[in-house]
Amino acid sequence: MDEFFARNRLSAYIDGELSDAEMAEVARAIEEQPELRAAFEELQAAVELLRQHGPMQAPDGFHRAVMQRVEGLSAGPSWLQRLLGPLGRYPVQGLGVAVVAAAVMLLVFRGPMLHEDPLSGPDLPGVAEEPAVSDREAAVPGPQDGLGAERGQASESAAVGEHTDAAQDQTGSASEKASSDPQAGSGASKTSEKALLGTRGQAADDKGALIEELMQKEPGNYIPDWDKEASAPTATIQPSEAEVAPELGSGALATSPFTYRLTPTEPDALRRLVALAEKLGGGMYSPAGEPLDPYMLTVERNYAQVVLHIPASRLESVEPYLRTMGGVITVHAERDRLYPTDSVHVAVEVQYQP
Amino acid sequence: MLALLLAVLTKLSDTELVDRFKGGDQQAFSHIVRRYQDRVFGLCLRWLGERAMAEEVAQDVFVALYRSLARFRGESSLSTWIYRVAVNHCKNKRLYSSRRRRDRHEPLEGRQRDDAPQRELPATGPGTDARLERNQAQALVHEALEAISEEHRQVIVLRDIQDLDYHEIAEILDLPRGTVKSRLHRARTELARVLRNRIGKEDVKL
Repeated sequence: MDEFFARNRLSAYIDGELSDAEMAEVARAIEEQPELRAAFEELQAAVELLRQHGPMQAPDGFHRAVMQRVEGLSAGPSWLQRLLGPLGRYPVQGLGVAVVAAAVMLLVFRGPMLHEDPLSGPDLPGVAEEPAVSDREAAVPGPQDGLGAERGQASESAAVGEHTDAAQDQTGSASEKASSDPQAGSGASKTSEKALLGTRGQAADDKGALIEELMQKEPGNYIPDWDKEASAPTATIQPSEAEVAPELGSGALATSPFTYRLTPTEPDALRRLVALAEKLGGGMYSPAGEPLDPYMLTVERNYAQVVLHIPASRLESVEPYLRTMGGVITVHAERDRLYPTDSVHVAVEVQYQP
Repeated sequence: MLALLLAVLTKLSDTELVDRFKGGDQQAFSHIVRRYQDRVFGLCLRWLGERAMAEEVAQDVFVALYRSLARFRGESSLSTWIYRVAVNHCKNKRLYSSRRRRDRHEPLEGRQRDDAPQRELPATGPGTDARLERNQAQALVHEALEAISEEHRQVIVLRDIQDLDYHEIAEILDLPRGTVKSRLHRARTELARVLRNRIGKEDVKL
């Protein structure tokens, strides 16, 4: 074997990464050519030195320090991911959403659907007018467990009891509890509905309240002093067409009423921005729309899009806040538009330049 | 009971630990940290060269892991994924540090090094010579790695110190396998030259 050819294969030979034929050829060349043998021995000695003395142990207390740092984090598996369990390893978010949507629909419409069952109670006196039970009541067992008398829903009616029993026989075990205790079903559904309505009712105030709460808890940390910064002068630079990165100049985020381009220079700045976005229900995404974590950005792949859901009343303070993290260009800002909804999507195109 | 739990966790595969974490088991994450802390810290130390910085970055790696583990879909192995996170952290930190040093107009003679293994006070007793030799060898490895280019250091650290195969290295560094092979050859050749210049060819054969 030619010496140059063999020399270039020495490293792969040490790792056993050549074909059997090549391994044999290089071995023969090493044996026959003293210069090649010397080069091989030198290379092997260097590799041995690294393998013996390269690995290091983590310092004492490292594990404890990590666990302390993650203790306060709310991140980790979401309730949906926990629900999905091992399925979370597969791209089944769509399925997960469908399952949850179906569950919500079932909870909301369970009562009325039961009422449509001719055997389970639409004609039962008092069922439709039954007031919703409290959360605590909904959580306790139904009449079969001895609560029926307390609610006064047993009606002391043998006819109703027989009717209900018949329903049990015909509808099978799946609807056993519902048919034997339509009140509980109705009550639970109304309670869930109430909870859902309550959530919807609070949604408009949630972002503002969350920001206020976070401002009090973590002043100067993740949340800027919005009110103070809102009064700061904002200098807007309109980029030329050439300045707009092709990867980010189009796509879904281009439709956002507020789009900025940020060039953070410190890893911490990027982490703070993403932490804020996540707290406000947004996040960081690749140009293809996949969720990203700050560590995924490198010099080679330094584009990302951060989406923030900001209360409309605080939009003016976004740009000054971004300026604290690095260079900012306002790509698009519909400042004169009225925003009927409380929350406005702000897109921040991140061009990470560590 | 705790011992039993630890014994169970020790035997679990990475995939099983991730599944447990997704199910809300914090102990599973704790065990992942134990399983990978030496490797991640070692990678960061060899890559960054400074102990304090390496410890900070290695901690950051696990915090990032904690935040995003729920999204891990098992398309690559957990170890590959952790290494990729660690490599990206190291790349970013190194660039950030070099930029800051540049901005600070650091003197030409360079920064104060604290990247060598911690020096121990001279001691007597059994094992002292061996420990001294070990420290000298570790210091030599450190200096040699610092002397080669970052591109070469990356592949050497992953292959010869972390003992990853070519396929894993290609995946972590996002390079074709052939590039890993040729780069590794050049890197080792450069490293051997550095070692030869520092200590003489005979001494390299430890």
